[in-house]
Amino acid sequence: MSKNNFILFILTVFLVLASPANAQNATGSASIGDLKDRLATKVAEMKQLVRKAVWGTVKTISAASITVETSAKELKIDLTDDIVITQLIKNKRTTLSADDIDKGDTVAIIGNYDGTLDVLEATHIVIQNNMPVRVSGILTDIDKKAYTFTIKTSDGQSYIVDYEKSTTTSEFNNAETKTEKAGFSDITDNDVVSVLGFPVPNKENRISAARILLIHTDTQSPSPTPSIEP
Amino acid sequence: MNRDALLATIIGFILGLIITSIVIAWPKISASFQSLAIKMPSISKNVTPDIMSPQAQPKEKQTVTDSQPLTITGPVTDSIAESDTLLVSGSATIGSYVIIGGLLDEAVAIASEDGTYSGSISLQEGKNPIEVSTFTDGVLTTKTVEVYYVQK
Repeated sequence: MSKNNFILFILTVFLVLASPANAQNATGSASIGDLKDRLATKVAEMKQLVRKAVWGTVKTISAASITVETSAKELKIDLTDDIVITQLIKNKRTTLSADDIDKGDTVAIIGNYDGTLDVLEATHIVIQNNMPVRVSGILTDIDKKAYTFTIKTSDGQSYIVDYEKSTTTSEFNNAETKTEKAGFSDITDNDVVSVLGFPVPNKENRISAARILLIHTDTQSPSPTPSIEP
Repeated sequence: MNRDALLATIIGFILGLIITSIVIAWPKISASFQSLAIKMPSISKNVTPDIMSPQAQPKEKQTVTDSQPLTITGPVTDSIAESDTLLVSGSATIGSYVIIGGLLDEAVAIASEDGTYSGSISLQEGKNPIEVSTFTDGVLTTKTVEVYYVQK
């Protein structure tokens, strides 16, 4: 093969190889375009606001926003113009303004969360200071003179419950499968007791009962309700 | 163009075509080779393969047993309720008492024959911690979820 023929051979191989490579480049450009589109869609998705609720303590307050410390992190809350701020005051729903929010308030906030900015645009804030606690357990001891009883919870903790004059009590009637009004005298050993109340200040594991539900396990044995057939 | 030049062009074209075809079709060719490969069973040190256990039985269909752990299937924790009445449901041991306690009221359910329960409670504005307790054979089990609600 002469020198010219060899050069012609090399050129032919190169040209045949080069043409699909160009086609590959065109495909590569299309892939980059597709990637850009997907990236843009993802960014748009991330910018979409998600309805979210958070619970925490107010740390800082400014004109248009507050900072709340949640169980996970500090979160900036933007106060929108049409925000609704409420609080239960003496069992009455009271509408408040942003000025009524104080540092240290415990609040539930519902709004639209912007994941890109990590900001919650609040539409509702409910101030919930002094939340009651619920404790359920099996009655282990009762002091009928002191109007107190002790329950042991599922995690082994014992709580002393103060029965107040204002405490409302109900018991489950298994025969009629409904709850009925009851009193302190209806509380008996081995009852399953669910108490809603408030922690007694400076006394560990002691609760002042607001509401009590009793299930008498010694005298009642439940029978399963028939499952609903479709 | 003389005969040698024409031959060199044709050979170069064919050779280039073959190389290009191989390059383009390589992913499919390699995939075909992989599918043809014989799959060998992997034997872990801690796991005895079924083929070595003469007593290996097919897994039985899971059925509802008398005793099963307490679960809350609805609502999902930290969800936002649409109304001030909430249906709480889940599974528990058949025939066991299930107490559903909210901030405003309580409901008592007895787990049905298929091991499910449900009960409705009222919600107040803000966060509503909901405690579900079940009592079976002298043992109390408790689980909680939190649901938010605001008036519209």
